[in-house]
Amino acid sequence: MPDRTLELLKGTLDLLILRTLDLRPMHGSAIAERIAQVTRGAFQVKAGSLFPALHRLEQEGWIAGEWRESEEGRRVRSYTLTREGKRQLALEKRTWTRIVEAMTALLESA
Amino acid sequence: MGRLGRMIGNLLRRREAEESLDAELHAFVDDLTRRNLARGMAPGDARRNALLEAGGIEQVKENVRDAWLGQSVETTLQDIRYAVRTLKRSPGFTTVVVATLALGIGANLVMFSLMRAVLWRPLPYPEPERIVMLRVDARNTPDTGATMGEIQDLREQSRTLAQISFADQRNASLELASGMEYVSAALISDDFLPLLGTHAATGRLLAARMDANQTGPLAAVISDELWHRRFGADASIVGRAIRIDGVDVQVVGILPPGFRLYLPTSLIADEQVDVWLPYRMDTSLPFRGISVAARLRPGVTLQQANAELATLVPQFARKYPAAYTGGNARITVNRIHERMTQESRPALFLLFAAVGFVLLIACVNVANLMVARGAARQRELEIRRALGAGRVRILRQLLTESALLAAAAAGVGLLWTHWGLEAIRRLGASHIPMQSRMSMDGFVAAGAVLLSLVTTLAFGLLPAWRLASGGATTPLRAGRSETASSGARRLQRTLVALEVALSILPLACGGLMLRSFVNLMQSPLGFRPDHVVTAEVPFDVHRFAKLEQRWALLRQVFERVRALPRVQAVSAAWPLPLAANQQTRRVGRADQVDALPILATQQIAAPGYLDVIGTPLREGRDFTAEDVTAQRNVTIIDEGLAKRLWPEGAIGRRLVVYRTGWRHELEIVGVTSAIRTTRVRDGDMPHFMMPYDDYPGSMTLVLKSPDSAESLAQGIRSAVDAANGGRAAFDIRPMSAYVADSVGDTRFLLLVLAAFAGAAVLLAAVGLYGTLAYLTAQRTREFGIRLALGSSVTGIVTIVIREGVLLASAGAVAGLMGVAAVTHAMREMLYGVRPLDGPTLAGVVVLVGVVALAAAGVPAWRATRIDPQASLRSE
Repeated sequence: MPDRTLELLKGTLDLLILRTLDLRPMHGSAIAERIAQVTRGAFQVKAGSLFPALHRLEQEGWIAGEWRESEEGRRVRSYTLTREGKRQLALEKRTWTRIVEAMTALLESA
Repeated sequence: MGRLGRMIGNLLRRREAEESLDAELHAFVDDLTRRNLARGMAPGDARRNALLEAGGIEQVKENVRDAWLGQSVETTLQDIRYAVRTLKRSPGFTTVVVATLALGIGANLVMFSLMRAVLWRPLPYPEPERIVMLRVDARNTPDTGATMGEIQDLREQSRTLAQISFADQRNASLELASGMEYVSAALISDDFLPLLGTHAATGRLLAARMDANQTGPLAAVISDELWHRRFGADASIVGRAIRIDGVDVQVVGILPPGFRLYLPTSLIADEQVDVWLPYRMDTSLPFRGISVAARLRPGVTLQQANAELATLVPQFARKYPAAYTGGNARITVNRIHERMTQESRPALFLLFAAVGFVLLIACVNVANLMVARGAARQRELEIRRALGAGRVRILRQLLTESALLAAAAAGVGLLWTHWGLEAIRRLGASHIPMQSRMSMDGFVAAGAVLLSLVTTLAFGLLPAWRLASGGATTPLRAGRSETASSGARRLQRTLVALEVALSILPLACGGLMLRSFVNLMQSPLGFRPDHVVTAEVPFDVHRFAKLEQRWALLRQVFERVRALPRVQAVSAAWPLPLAANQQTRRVGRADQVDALPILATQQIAAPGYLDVIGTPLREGRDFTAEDVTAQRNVTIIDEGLAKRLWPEGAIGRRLVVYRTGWRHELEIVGVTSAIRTTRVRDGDMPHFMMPYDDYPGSMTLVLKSPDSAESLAQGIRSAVDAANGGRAAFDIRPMSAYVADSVGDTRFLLLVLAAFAGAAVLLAAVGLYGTLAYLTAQRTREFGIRLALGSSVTGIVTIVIREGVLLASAGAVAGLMGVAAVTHAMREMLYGVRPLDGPTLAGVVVLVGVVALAAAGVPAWRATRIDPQASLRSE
């Protein structure tokens, strides 16, 4: 697995987290692991970025966190995507898609 | 609630949040460690590696904390910016809400300050609730004051009262190189100042050995203010002599700055006393009239003190029969603060109630406005909800709007409070004590903030919550924005009717007060105060000890003042009618020795006084110069006394004046029309006059002139100085000032009530107008249809006006029902008018009707401008 860390564009971390939680509720380290897995190591989210983002998203009301017992029986703080979060995710997905289209068009223009 | 709870949790339950974060981060590190172990690292390395990976737990915590803070600051700023934009978009709403609340808040804070200064703040003396004043009822006269003998005996015998002391305030003249200056002085017993808990800042207080029977120079204590004002704060003044009223007194001490004398207003005119002198009086004399204060001994209650006095009074009556003639003697004590505030208490409570109504109306107004606005913003909020704004976020923004309004209202309200307090000070209600303590301080500012926050949050929160929670469920409707639900409309109508009802009460009270005031002013005086100027002219009693000397001096003063330009006549008397220091005597017919004496006011007058003051002589003659020089025992009585004692005719009869231990017989040489000497409220008192004699130490000059008191002041002062009486003239003011002062309490109440009633009506009118305008605008489409279908413009106008009148009437009826209870409570303050006075209530109803019509006028006029086609087309 390439040990590279791409500098995350500001704001995309939110999208990453929301998308990850869209699948199922997860706790902090599981989120980071999943992001690293799915992007094949391109995005390695450090704790210093992950947790501020998680708490910020929580304050916005897009994710909800609660202490739970994980499968292994440990006490973890698990985050769930909320209804407003789902809406926000859809919004940000659309925005992201538009940006990518625009960038692609620009980069490939003659 | 969970989300809101989390938000608040971040702020309030910070510790729990920190603990949770800590646990979460440790769990994260544990996870990383476990993964490292699973990859085969050694346990120590696994952990170290995990910590490095995490980047240091403390650092992460800092980042999260920054995020918490940044987030809340960021959103708060956003909320504020958004709120400002929203409020600017509806300037009418914002202005009216802020102005309305500011008015309500300002008025309430003014009353709050006043109540605080007068009723709630304790006096600035140690344990002020234990300081009491004596009240002596004897010789059929209430509140007549104690005798020196009683005071001595109380000091020796009372086991419940300590520091029994007394004070008498005087005007005095201080002799300076530049001339005579008027200072306020108080004659006190030694323990008076210690009773009030003050010490000398420099030197000492008055001491017992300076009491009566001392022939050396009098000791005096001066105030810090006088020390700075006239003696340059020079410490060497202690031990030096100053000249007060022509007598050298030695300054033995200086009081600390800011010491004030707070006593009932009937006893004390100046809170700021410049010179304190010992009270010298022979203890054998049975004269009454001394005001006595004392302190309850430790552990003694007021009831115990009164019980002890009840047992002592019979002993005193036996020891001083002359001072206790007529039986029914009573001595009681009461807390000094209560004595001071007795008179003004009912008025203050009435005003407090009135201003409470003003605030209520303001709140109802604001509620109404917010309901209307809430309905209008329904669509906007629905859209925002559809676009994904969280319920909580919307709530936050609405609350921020309310808070901004509250802040603005508080600010403007404090401005109103400042002006209001100024206005109250200028009203100069002399019967309300301690107004000098009225101020805008931290309490008041806190009150403003509290009031405005409570009102705006209460009225902003309700519709906001309703909107924020209910709005998401109703689907967006295309086309015309939904009008306010009929529920909201009904609420608005009810609120407006409520406002009108609430405004009726202050109006009714104000109207009754107005009639009382008019009645008081119309009450016949028996003299004509216009164009009469007065001045106090004291004499140096040592240089002019004999009557001839004083009479000569007085005639000199008369001549010089008469010579001033545009002075038509001069005379003097003491005291003047309606002045505070009326002399009450027991009098009767000389030929009826056993009859019970009646009370009458006594006046000393110089010849020509009746002419200056404009009191007509019904029979007989005025005093002459010979009456004075020959010291004839003659008197002029007024009709009130004549009709009471000599209905058959008074000229030539003899009046007897009872003094303690002797009687004075006077031949009646003249009868005037009834003269009012006491305040109108205090009832009519018969009156008699005696020719100028050596009793008073000062006379009040009266002169007839078309010029004002200010323009004559200098001339009068110079004339008196030139006559070389050894004293300066002071208190130069028009006779009408005495008349105004005598109704000062009613006038004060009237003016303040009128201001509050005016505010109440204004607010109710604004509310009525606003609601009608809104409701009419809502019905534009309906009116357009009606017009298109052939209804006349007049018909539309009638609909609008009818709605306004109906609302106002409903409110008026409700208000009138409550009036009975309120005005009944103020009957003590009324004069010549009953609490349920027909004309007053009718006037109030008419006023409300006119206001309602005016408020309905503009919306009605707008309704006439409706273009049927345009309204049907518009969406």
